[in-house]
Amino acid sequence: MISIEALQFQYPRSEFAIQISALSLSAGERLAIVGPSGSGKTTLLKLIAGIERPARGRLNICGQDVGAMNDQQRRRFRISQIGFVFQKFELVDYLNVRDNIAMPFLINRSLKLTPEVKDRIGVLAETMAITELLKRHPDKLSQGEKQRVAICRSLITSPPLILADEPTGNLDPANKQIILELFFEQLSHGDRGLVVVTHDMSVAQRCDRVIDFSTFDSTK
Amino acid sequence: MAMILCLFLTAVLPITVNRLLGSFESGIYSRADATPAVIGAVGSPLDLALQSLYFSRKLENTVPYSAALEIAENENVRAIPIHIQHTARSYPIVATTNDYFSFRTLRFAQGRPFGILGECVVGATVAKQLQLKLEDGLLSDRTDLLGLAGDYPLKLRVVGILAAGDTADDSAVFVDLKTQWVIQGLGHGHQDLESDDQSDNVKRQNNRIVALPSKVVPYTEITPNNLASFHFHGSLDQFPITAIIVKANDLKSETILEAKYQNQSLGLQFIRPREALETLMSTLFKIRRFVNMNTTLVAFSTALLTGLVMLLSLKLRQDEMDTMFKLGCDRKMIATIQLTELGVLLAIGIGLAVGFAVIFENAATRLLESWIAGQS
Repeated sequence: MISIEALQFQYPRSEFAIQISALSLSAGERLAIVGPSGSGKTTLLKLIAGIERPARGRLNICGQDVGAMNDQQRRRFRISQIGFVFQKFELVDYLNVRDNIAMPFLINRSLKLTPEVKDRIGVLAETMAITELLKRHPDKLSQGEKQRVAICRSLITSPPLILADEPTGNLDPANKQIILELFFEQLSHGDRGLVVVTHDMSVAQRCDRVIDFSTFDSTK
Repeated sequence: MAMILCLFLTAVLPITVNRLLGSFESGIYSRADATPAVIGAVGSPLDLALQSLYFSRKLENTVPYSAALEIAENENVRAIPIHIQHTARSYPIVATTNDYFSFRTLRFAQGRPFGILGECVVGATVAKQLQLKLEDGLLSDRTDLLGLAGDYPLKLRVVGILAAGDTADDSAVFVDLKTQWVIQGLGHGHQDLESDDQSDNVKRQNNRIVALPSKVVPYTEITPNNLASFHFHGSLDQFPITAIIVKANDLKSETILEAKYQNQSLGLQFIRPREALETLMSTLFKIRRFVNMNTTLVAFSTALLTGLVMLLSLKLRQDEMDTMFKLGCDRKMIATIQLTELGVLLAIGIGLAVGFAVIFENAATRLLESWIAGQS
């Protein structure tokens, strides 16, 4: 699912750079990346998602050479292959919960909001126990509810790979356990891979593999 | 919401003023153009034009009726005398000839032109506001309530109601010149005051029955019984009129007429209403220019403010935009969404301003016309 070889990346006008000699992830595998702030964890997620473009090396995600794609191809790749879960949820306040979940279909013309997709929104909302919240707006939701909505949004396109950046960072302990249960239960359907950046060891423990970026040969 | 209000307030004044003045200008000029020339007593040309066109306040100086008769002797000139001195329930009584109706191409909604003394034709607004129908009575207003020798109100009989034309004619009461002269006290009749029938004079006052003397009548009324008794003392030729609307059939006749009254030695003046009104309109256009200039400055500051608000909004919504980009949204589409939002705000603000201007245009035009008439 992920195959990285001799990858090099540096932000323009910045000293910061990362290089990864080899990293792979097989279908259905869950990888946790831990490490200190500024070690390049989030940058790696951006490279995998095609948001940033590597300077050198091979970056093969879901069978596609993301490094060789142009901007439009990377956007299409991202919206069809990747599901995102962010620490701050990143919901749009003026859209209700239903529209927030359907957002990938609203912002990209290549995806069609068919009746089947609408049904899937209902099913996802039910499994994440937020059916009664579908007409509400994010500012009326608790932190835990917001993250449930964000997880639904990441799964609505049925992507083979989920990228999560500190998904429990803004949740209280009680909510965290419930959300993690629901999140990992959803991931268990199919061969869906997960790369999660976290400081939370309870999240890392649920993954198949953990990479510590402070000892990994990725930074310099 | 605040942004829409800001845009609305910026747009509403210039749009309203420009629409209002545009509408007023076309209205006032179309009536002025339909009235090529007016002859009246020497004085303010603007006052004469406004009185002839809009029946505004009465003019102090009058001209003798003979002036109209003299002009009418030229078969190439159409001369329509008008005399405005009194009101009926606050609407101006316009004394003229039936030729006025055909000159202004006025259409009768009901009834007919006035025929005999005491009859009147009312404009559509007068009929509507006073709920008048054919054969109803309409009393002229007294000009001097305290003067013992003051004129008595004349009870006019409505014989015609004009169709609405959206002009000053809608708010006028038309009578024959002789009827006006009766109202003015220049002509009178002799009512039968010796009759035994005093039933009309029995009044109830503070729960007491009061019988008024038979010689006291509250108004004058011209009826078939007393019509023959009405007469005028003096020569009608010398009776007053306030203006003569003149339309020559050819340029030569008009030029001769203009030349005759140019030196004003006869105590008369020849005016072209359009030229007279242009002095008034130039004042209004100065106001429009000022409003437009002011609007340019306000629009500039609003544009700066809008830009600032948009920049702040973009800053506040940066995370939202980043999320959309991360999820796979094209940056062009993000820009399109933002521009669309701005466009919607602009459209709502300006749309509300245009809507406001359209709704208030008619009412404001009438207000402006009445204000203009009141200024004379």
